[in-house]
Amino acid sequence: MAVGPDTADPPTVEQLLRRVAAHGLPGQPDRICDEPPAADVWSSLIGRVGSQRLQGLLLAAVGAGALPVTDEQRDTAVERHFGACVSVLRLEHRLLEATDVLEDAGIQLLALKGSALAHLAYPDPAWRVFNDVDVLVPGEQLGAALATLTAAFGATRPVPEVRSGYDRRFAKSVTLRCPDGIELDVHRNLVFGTFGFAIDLGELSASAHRFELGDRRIATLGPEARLLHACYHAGLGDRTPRYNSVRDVAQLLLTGDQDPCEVLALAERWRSLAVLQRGIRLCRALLGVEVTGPLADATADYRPSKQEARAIASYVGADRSHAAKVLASVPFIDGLRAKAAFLIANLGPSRRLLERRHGRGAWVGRAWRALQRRPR
Amino acid sequence: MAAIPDESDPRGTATWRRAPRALWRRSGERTLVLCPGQDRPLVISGAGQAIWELLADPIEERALVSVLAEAVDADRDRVGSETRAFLEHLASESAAIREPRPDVGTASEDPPAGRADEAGP
Repeated sequence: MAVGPDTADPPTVEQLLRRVAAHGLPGQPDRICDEPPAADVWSSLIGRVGSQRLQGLLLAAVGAGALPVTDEQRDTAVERHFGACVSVLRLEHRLLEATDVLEDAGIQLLALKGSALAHLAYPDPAWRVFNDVDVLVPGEQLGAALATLTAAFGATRPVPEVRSGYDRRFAKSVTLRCPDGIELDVHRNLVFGTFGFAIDLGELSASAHRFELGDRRIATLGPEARLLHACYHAGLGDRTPRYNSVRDVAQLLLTGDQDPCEVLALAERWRSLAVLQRGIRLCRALLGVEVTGPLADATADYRPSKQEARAIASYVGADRSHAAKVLASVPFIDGLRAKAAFLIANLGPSRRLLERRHGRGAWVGRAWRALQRRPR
Repeated sequence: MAAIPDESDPRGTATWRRAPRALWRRSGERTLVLCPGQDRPLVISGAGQAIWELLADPIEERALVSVLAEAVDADRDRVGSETRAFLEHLASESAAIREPRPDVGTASEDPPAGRADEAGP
């Protein structure tokens, strides 16, 4: 068993952050560092922990003695986690309320990410901090869901629909903001464009599982789809992958809830083997976790096609952009009409939206420049 | 908030459980409980955390007192009054619910052995 840090020098903020993010995973050292971090290092670490939503893992590491801290540092870790927990509990109440009103309106929903992962993947839900409510509804019910949630919570929509009918056909999600500051992300798909076109959205509800929250059993993705969704989020969500998202992948793999054969079959149907491979590789690259087993074996030597590589690059490559994602999506769309509809809908958005985002008259230039930055 | 012991159930035959929508998290040595419509959480620490854990399933008050008194090796009457006060406090904050038994006054003095044996702080 690994015992302690492997270098004599005090770890950097990045090293500490990485070790905090991996705390409790197999093969990790028992100790994150030998001495309490210096004041300036701790200050930076606390900031990064907050932005990466790792307050739960930080406090767990401190509580387990893996991260030695001063009394003052311990107080800070406790205080930050306390605040994060209050926020999370408010979000879970909103999830319950949203479930009530949507189901009363006859709308099926699946909870995504935050609360579902906290309760299903982590040994203690307090380890998983999140900052919004994510639900998935059928595309044909998206409009009704938005109207229901808007009416129930007085929510507003900060970004208008690109053009009439766009949300229902092409959007990944629509964000609503409640007057109390809570954000509701109402998804119709797990990923924008590209791989999203290969997902059988009806299959998501059919394989749903449930977790207990208060007096409700909330529906969420089945274990195999949950893992792939975590891979989409970790592998495509940010240019620099987030520790907490990669931790989700590692944590889900650790539960062993998935049937590896089912995961691989689903990934093939969803044309997402490259994303699964990326998620597994990120566990090692970011967290130092060696993932073994059938999924690691099956994806180890997988060679993404040009289309898949281009799709991934459109999210996280140097030339990533909305236009790049749109163009990279074309090979994933079945049928000429559907391709054309998607291209037109995305590359010629409504003037109202673009003026709101970029100012009057700026959109033509921006759109043109974006199109010049095709992913390599 | 000061809790007022309920004298209507001196034998502790009522059953207690967490309120269905009292959501909670453990944070270090405290448990935070947030009920619907509240902005600030109820913060539970010390032995209160053990009681909160034991309220995961409905439990008769005197069974609860019995296991707690045994666990801390303390006088049952004193544990009983403090537990009652704590439970009343949870109820006043909408975090717990008391369900009086229909057969109050006729129940056996002995707590249900199964419950007492299953539970433990």
